[in-house]
Amino acid sequence: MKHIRCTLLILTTLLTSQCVSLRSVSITQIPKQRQQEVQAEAKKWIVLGFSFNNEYVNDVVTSLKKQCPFGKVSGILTKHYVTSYLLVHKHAVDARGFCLQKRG
Amino acid sequence: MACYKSYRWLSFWIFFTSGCTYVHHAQVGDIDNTRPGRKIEVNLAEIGIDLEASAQLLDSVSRSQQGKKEKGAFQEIAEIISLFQMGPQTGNPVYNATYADRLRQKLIAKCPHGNITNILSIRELNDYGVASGEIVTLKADCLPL
Repeated sequence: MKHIRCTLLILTTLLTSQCVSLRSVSITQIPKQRQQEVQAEAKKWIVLGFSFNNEYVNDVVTSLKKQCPFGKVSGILTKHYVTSYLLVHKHAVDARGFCLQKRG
Repeated sequence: MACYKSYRWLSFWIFFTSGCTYVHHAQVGDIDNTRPGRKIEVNLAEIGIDLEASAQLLDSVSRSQQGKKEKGAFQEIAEIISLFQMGPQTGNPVYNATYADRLRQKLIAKCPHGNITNILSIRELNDYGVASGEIVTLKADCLPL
């Protein structure tokens, strides 16, 4: 029983402990109208470092467009970060900006 | 014999075409969603060389041929080169630093008379072990004037 508890504790520690590294940050021109903020995140789980495409990044733009129909998104802060767990990495691109709707 | 040959070519093909891919940098530009646009995409790539992996490969080949077990000459050369290859870097070293300069012209050529918006720029790497594809991709929308 003691061994099981110990093993469970070690496993939980290994599986839940994580390190985050920020790969890149960028920002575009910030508009005067900053009422409506939109945010999108695209992520991909990579097991043992095996990844065969980076298409997940495209979802960020698609999601931002959906949240701001017929408008413009400006002042976009983009972050690309990686969270590393045991044998698994989470690659994520987070983008947040301001939606400018057409007046009239 | 023919079967062995086809397997050999198949294994070579798999070795050279399968590679893991990673994103180094992603940037989303301002998005103009006021009218529909045409999707355009350009990318430029250059071959990067993983000096450490290539030295290890060459060393293991030469050692297995000569029956030696000590550290080989290639490994030592790689260590010397690494002394003056310090500092931050993105991906593996390439031998043409200007390979990405034509990106803007290529993008403009795809949309010569329109407004280019929604630019998503991705710096990615295709890893093939010793060599890598150091890729810059731009995805955008071309809005007619």
